[in-house]
Amino acid sequence: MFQIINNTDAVITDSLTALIYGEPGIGKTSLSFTTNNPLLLDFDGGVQRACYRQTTVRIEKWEDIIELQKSTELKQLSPKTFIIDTAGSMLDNYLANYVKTIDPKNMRRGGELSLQGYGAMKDAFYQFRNWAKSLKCNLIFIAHTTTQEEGDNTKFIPKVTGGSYDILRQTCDLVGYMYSNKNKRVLDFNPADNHIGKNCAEFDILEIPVYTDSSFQSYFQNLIDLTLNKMNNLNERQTALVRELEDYEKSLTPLEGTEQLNAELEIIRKITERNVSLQKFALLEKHANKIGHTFNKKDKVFACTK
Amino acid sequence: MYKIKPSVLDSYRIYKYEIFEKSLDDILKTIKGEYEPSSEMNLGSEIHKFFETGEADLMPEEIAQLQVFDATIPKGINELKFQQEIDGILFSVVIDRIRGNEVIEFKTGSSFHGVEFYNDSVQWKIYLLCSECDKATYYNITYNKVRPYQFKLHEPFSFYRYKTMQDEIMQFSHEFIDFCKLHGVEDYILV
Repeated sequence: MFQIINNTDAVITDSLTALIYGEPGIGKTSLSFTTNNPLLLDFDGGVQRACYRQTTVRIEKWEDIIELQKSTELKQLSPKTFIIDTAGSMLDNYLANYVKTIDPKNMRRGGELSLQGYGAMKDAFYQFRNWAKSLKCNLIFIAHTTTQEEGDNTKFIPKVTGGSYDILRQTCDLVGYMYSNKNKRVLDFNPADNHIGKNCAEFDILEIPVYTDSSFQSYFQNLIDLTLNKMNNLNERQTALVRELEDYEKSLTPLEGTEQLNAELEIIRKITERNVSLQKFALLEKHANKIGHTFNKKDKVFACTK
Repeated sequence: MYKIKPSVLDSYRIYKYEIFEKSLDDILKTIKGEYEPSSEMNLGSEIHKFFETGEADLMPEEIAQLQVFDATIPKGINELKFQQEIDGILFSVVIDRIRGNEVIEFKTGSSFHGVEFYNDSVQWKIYLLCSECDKATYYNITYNKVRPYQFKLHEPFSFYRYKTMQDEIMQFSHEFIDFCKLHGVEDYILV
């Protein structure tokens, strides 16, 4: 049964894509295991190093992923979270090699990906992401870190090559840098001068509990739940606001005279939410111009120009 | 009081961090407002004009491509100008489009700079701070250099407000003010 969603209807987000990056051994994979029914897709052969190890699929080539997607084993496992370890290997090696084999035009003479190849890799990546989303599974990408010099500043960024990096950055709802500070492991989703981040849940810098702490076992799942909650709240707020503005624009039609316009202006002035007052003022000004009025910036009122 | 435009502050950021992109002379000219618009900037203005008004000084086949893009981009209020004073600094802002709680920005150029370039930009952070919106989404349109231009709309990407955003903007703005003082161009940012 299909579902029609109008442009002002709220859309529920039920899964997200996150990227965690940091130095090897900091505990990124172990942290990603603290999610609901995770399945690790091991592109690096490094799962044995993780604490609190969960079900893992060793990947030898991208075709293994295609096979896994159709398999009965996957149905039986019924994962809720896919962990990609590491994103760099998946994109730069496995997926890049796969697209080179399906069309020779995806490869340059030197063996590297052509521009068309990057397009094909992007398409294959989005197919994978959309498949995971269709199963309502969260996706967690793990990446090692590398540095980038910016003037005198050194920035820690995920170790993924240029074209792949953009694909990943465009996809992720959360990007967190994991590092050690005073013998504590911390996770920072805030963008900063020395690392990247994406923090739609507005988390503070988070101190990760030790493995033996009971709160560790569902730690990242809690962050996912809080983020989804925040994203859905934002969506709801956005939907309500768009509807309010559309209704407001319609309500302006009967306003005809200078007095009515300026009375409405007074109402807008009392709105405390800046983005709402700005947009309502813009709509009011548009209506005023239509009926032969302009906003006098000096007196801050509408005046008739007829 | 100081008046800062996000585009000028971003030029300073590029001068400071993106080595070889801008010279000292370039950034001083930008602060003084002494730069000649390039052909890329003129084309960018036409594309922006199209998204604002539905019209532009472009060939019909070029307009037709932009119309296809326009149908996929959320509608809202275009070219919203406003100013916001924070601790003695007046931020002067023109936002391409606002829809509810979301800022929408169009970026144009012959090549796509990558998500990271925009992530580092102070522009969206100032826009979110001043508008009190929560989300900024960039729509990138690139083109080849032969007419009729073949436009490409890249996958949009969004950034969200975060807790330390205002502190970062203010710290960077004060650093920019010190730079202007040092190079004798403070008058250009005073109001």
